[in-house]
Amino acid sequence: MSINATTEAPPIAAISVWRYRPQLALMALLLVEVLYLTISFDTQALEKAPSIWTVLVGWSPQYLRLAIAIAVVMLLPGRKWLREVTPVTRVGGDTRARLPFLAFHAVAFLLFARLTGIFFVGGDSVALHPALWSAAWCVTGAATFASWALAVYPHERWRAALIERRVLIAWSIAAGTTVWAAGLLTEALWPPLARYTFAVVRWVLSGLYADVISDPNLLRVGTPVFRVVIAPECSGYEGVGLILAFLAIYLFLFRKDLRFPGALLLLPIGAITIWLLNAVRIIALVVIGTSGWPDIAAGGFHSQAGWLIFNAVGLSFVAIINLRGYFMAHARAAGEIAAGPTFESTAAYLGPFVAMLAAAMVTGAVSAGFDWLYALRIVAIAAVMWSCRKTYARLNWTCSWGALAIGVGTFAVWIAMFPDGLTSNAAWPVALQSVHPSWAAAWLALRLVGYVIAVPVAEELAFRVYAMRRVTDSDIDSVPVGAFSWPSFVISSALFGVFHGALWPQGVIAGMAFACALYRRRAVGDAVLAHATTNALIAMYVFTSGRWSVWS
Amino acid sequence: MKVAAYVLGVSIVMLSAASHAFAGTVAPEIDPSSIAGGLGLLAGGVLIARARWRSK
Repeated sequence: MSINATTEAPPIAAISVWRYRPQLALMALLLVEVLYLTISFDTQALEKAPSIWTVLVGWSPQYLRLAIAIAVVMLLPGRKWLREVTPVTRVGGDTRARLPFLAFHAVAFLLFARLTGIFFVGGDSVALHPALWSAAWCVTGAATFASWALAVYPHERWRAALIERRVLIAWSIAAGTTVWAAGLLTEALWPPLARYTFAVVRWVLSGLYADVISDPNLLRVGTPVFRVVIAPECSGYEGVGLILAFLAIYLFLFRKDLRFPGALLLLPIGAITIWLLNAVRIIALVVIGTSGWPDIAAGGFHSQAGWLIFNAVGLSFVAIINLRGYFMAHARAAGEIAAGPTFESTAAYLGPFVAMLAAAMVTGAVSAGFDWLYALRIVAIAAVMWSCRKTYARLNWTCSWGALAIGVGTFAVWIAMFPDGLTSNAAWPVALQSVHPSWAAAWLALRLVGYVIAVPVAEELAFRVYAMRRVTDSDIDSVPVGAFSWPSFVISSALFGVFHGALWPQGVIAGMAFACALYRRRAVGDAVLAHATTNALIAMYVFTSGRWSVWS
Repeated sequence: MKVAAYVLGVSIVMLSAASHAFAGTVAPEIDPSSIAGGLGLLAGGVLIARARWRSK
């Protein structure tokens, strides 16, 4: 199928994502606009308004979720679908032709945002004429979206795509609506699930303690020393949802390797396993709290145990799928599970970072807000690097003064962009003062070693040596270290930013700076030196200024 | 039929994720502040595992 009969669609591999940059930029614009509206305005008050018109507008988050569900179902084919509706010779389109629509979109969006502000705040006029305001809100919203769509592609392209892909669109609307409705129905299942979780926890605790306290009405269970309330959100549905999503995506991605329908059995097995383990998590919470560590139970364990269980179950299932022949479409030959060069590279470059994350999660789970066992992260990174030491000999570890300058510049940007309101790590001075000065000094020294040496090495190997090449080719050894491409540069830097949480803008910029350090001479040593310099200067800044929150 | 089978497959994936994506509630079972670390650990583990079992 082709929209333009005179244009031959090229092979999928020949289409670069970068050809779609005007469309990608417009999608980013829409995303920013939607984020601005959803963050700036709260619809909760509208949902209880007396007018049905106002209530309908108050449901707008549900419309957005419905649209996202339909769009995801429709667009997941990605490049294949795009190839069919957008012949590559016309992908970029005429920039001049889309400018009027872009200008109209800007005006429509400003009007829509203004109307949303007035409507959502309410007032006499809105209360008197709710239907009129609702109609105006809907019209400006529709105009905003329509002008955006026409800026992305001309109307002839949309019309042709709607006609040609009508079956897919109809199926996607039906499936997306089902998915959206399922999300609503799931919420109704939380309370009964919480009751079952409560029953399991109470039964097991009754075998462990003679004086178990339980209140079925409040779903409160525990001992006289420590007890918990099993809220509906704590019932296990989050773990079930996560593991089902993970397994479903895994089965979908690797469907050619798997035997169906047998592999579908993994979905219910995974859901039941993680639900039972959530009950075990709550039991452990009570046991830890009752045993004299209530701060650990309510602190690190409570927040990290769910992730630990999810990772343990997810990775165990991946191992079961690959090691047990029942789920595989074809029996593996013995040589297929032997370590090869791709595995050696992946383990060597990604392993230290994964080990660091795992150590952080484990030490976080046994902490009460302050990670006294931070040194284990250094041990984990060092252990993996020692086992893979031969692989690192291939890399260029030389350093240059230019990398040092990039590190200094990144530090300056980091401090300049640091938000004032952030109060993370505020407990550090108090925790360090609570122990003997020699212990505090030892912890700080190890924290410094980790921050300035271990973390930069692990992160540069993961993001600049592994991720940057993995974006280009699944066989990372076929891509030279430091080979530039826009997708690998942008995606690896964005990923680096994601791992810096609230400081993601600084993280993205730092990731780009460290990538530039690597590109200069294709020397990993330069990227590590730039990163280490930035971190060392941040540590010095923290020691001199006392702003512990800057130490990320 | 191909389109229907495809949409059905994607829908199963989406249905599995629906309780998370559309629930809109922050709950303590899975700490949202650790999402990058939690998913990063899983993704890294899967990438290493797949690299091992794919190697010949």
